[in-house]
Amino acid sequence: MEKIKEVVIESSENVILARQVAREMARELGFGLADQTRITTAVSELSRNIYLYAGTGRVVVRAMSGGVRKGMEVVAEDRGPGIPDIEMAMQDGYSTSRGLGQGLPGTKRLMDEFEIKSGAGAGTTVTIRKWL
Amino acid sequence: MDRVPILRIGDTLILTLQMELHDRVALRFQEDVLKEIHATTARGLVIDVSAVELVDSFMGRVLSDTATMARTMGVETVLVGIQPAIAITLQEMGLELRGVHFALNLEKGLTLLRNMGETAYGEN
Amino acid sequence: MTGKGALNVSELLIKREREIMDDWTKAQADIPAFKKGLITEKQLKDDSARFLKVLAGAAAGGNLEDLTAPEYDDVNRFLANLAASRAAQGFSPSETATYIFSLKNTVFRFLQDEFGNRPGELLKAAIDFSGLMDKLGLVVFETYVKGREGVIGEQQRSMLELSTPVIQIWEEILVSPLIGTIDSARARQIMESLLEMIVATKSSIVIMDITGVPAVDTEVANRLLRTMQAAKLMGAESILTGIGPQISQTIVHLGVDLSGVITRASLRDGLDLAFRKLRFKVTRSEG
Repeated sequence: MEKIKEVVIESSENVILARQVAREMARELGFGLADQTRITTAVSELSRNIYLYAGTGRVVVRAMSGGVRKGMEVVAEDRGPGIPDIEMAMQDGYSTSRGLGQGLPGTKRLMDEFEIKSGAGAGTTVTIRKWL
Repeated sequence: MDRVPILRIGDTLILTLQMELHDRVALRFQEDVLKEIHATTARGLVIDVSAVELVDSFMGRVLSDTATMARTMGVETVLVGIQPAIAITLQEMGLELRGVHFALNLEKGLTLLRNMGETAYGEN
Repeated sequence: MTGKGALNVSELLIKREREIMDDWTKAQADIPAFKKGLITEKQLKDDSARFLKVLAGAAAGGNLEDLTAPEYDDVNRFLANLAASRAAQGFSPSETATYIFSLKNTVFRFLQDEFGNRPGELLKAAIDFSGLMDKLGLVVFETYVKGREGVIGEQQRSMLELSTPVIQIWEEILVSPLIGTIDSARARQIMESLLEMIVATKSSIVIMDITGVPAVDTEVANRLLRTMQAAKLMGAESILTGIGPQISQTIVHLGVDLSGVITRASLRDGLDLAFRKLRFKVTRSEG
């Protein structure tokens, strides 16, 4: 059984909505407060990146409760300018700059799984997962 | 109500953040605080975040920047009431809140400012 | 904390109950959680009116600190019911606590209005009221924890208590005697448990003793450092104790950066330092 919710990101208000949707789903799945906060913060970072650098995109939140393991997956995607050098963006020092990819290394540390697909002019898709 | 109210007690300003900070509101409160510091003789700023459920890198930067800006005007900032779940997340993300002091609650925050010699509480 | 400050707050709550209620209701409209449609405006108003009433009643005697006193029975009962009913309606513990906290700004505004020209009294009243609100917020959280939620979750709680005790050894001082290996799961438990204790006991010093930790590598060192940094965000200073000659050599060889961390060889030394920092003195009585 899967539960999916999608939030279109076009403004900073949408970022707040995405956070609420994520928190709600995390809570329903049974994540404790600390994990709820980790997940919600990660979603906030990813949504904000979409809004700031691509202008528009979407965040899809999915509850994975079918199998043995329960967890949550969030896919944040946009068709924006993309990240030309992912490796650099994932370096710690980079996240303190005000550029693209702000908060990505930090987000990765909060999650159990983190995947990113991006390229110059090719948009960006970040997938994160947290397991109960 | 788009502004965050600023309480003034002697030379200390107290700001209690309570709602989801839109980018607009966040930058607004930064502006308001700096204006208030400029207009009064404030030496200390306490930002109460006990009701804040989430601090991401944006919010962290707003807080950090506000504190650094306040410092250029001679004001030290103490952040009080960070919830455990948030302290954990900030730590794990590696989000450093520069230029800010920390205390558990308003009372301890005010004591900290006093001990730093910034404000003159308890001396009257 | 009784006395003038407390009386000022309770008088204010009673004297200007109507206005405070109006102002607070208006402020609530700005909290996104309450726009979700999970609760009717009428119920919100009824809850708020009831809360103000029991709060004013409880604070009437000037006690803003001891929630176990009988005058707070109604308040505690109200909060427990509130937490339960909000949980059933789908609100998170934070959202419910935020609802309670949102009264802070409203009351602060009125306090400023009443005592603006008497900063000493205003200060006292603000501190006392803020402290009271923080405590009430905690009551909300605790009710949820008894139910299901909490930073660490009910299931883990009992295991946690056994394996990573955090002891309040004295007023304001917590000791965490670490024993055995510290893997990442345990490190997380230690951190969560410690932070919760800091809030519950309002401690300002944490002593982490690693006498019982057999090996410290870079991973373990980093985990300890992270815990100490998180404690700092909650206004607590950490002291690392129990560093024997072997571990001190390892730490230096590994190049672990302990600058900024206060360390002492023994728990005893750490306690000594903590007492000095808090300006406590231990004296032996005569006879």
